[in-house]
Amino acid sequence: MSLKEQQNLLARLYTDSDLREKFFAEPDKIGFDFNLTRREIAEIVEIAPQELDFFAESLFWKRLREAEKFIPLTVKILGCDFPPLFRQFSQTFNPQTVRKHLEDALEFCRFLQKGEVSEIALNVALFERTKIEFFGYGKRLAFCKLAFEIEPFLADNRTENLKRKQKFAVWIKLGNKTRHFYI
Amino acid sequence: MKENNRISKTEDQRPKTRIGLGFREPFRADIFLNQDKIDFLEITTDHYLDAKPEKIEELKLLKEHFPLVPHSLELSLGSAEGIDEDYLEKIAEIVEFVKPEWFSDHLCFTRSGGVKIGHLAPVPYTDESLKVFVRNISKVKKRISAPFILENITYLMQFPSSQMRESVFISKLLDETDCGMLLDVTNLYINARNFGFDWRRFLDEIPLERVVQLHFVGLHKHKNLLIDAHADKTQNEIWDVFGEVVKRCDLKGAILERDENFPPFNEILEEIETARNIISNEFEGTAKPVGAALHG
Ligand SMILES: [Fe+2]
Repeated sequence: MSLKEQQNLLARLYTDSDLREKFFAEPDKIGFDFNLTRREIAEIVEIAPQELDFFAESLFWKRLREAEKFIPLTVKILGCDFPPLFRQFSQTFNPQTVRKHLEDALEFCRFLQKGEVSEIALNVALFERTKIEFFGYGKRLAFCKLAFEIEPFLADNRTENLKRKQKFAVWIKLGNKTRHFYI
Repeated sequence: MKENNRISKTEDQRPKTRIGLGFREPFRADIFLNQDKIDFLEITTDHYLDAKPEKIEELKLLKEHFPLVPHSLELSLGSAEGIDEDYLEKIAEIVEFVKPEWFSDHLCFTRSGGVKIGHLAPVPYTDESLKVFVRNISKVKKRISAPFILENITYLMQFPSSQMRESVFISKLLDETDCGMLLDVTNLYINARNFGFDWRRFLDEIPLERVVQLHFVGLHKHKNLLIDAHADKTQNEIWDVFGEVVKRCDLKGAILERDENFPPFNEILEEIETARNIISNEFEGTAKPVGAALHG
């Protein structure tokens, strides 16, 4: 038995729901792609699918809960669209550093820029992404160009009547002091 | 526990079991305000790897005020592809800086084939898995001289290909690697309930003399399953397991492992106090096996 090949497949099954579905539909096909023998495939097939699914789901929700701590405003503005969007994102990205949750949050904001979310949500995500880059990665200067005045949303989560206006949100570190302003 | 593993202890031989807390940032101010009530802290090594200068300062400050034990998350001791040397090196640096009495990681794998699973995943309890763990742990022990202790995890799935019970697997592994054990009593209780085995039998089957440290925290109920959310107050059923374990072995320490849903700090202190009281009460008139893993 080759535990290494089995673990390669398991790690993917735990983190990729599409592959999980395909595996349970055609275990041999996927198993052979991972260089498993029939017997090794059978050992994974024997795992109760509902147990495997539940474990994978628990991993997904843990990951989401950790990432959302870094992007509370983006989560708020996306509302119930956040979990399905994060699920889509999670299939495409596997964080590799020790700061995996921060990395997830940052990449999720980048991922949103490619998707179909409202322009205001894009602005909020861009704002938080820049903030993460500044605080999380020790930059001395970070800024982003916003298309809306998002301050009312930052203050009390109000999204109505946000004015369209180009602004730069800026974070700068001078000595030990951090300044944040708009121009 | 076999009778010949027991010795009588007099009051002055009484082991001092330290009760502490897993350090989390929201606790910072309260921890320093209540230094006299917290015997030691467990730090998550991963929070200090490639960290900003502020985090390193925090670690120095914690080290000045508390005994620390490092707890790592990603050694992935069950990975058949082997240990990540870079990660091991970083853990070694933290352990060398902290100079702890011991450090710990989990009985699981967290990565394979370039994919990071993001959490602790179980392995089948087979001879092959055992060999993988032994090989990886020997690498860790070669690099880091501080005593290494291994923690049991919760699992939401079982491998029908397993050749032995978890308790037997752990016993063999501890024997072969000469490691101590970090027994998470909450994880044990959760697995026992979810998969219908007797946690007392598990205790009968592992070498209790190797248990060095405990983790405890409340369990979380999700439909008909129990989960290790680390977000709830320790319940009576967990205290029962805790009590049984302290009755049966000499511990160096026990850590409250709360990660989420933080309550007012006095509730944390109450739980620490409860643990302390259970240990004091259990000691009265109870003989225990000789702790071996860290005493030899
Ligand atoms: Fe634990």
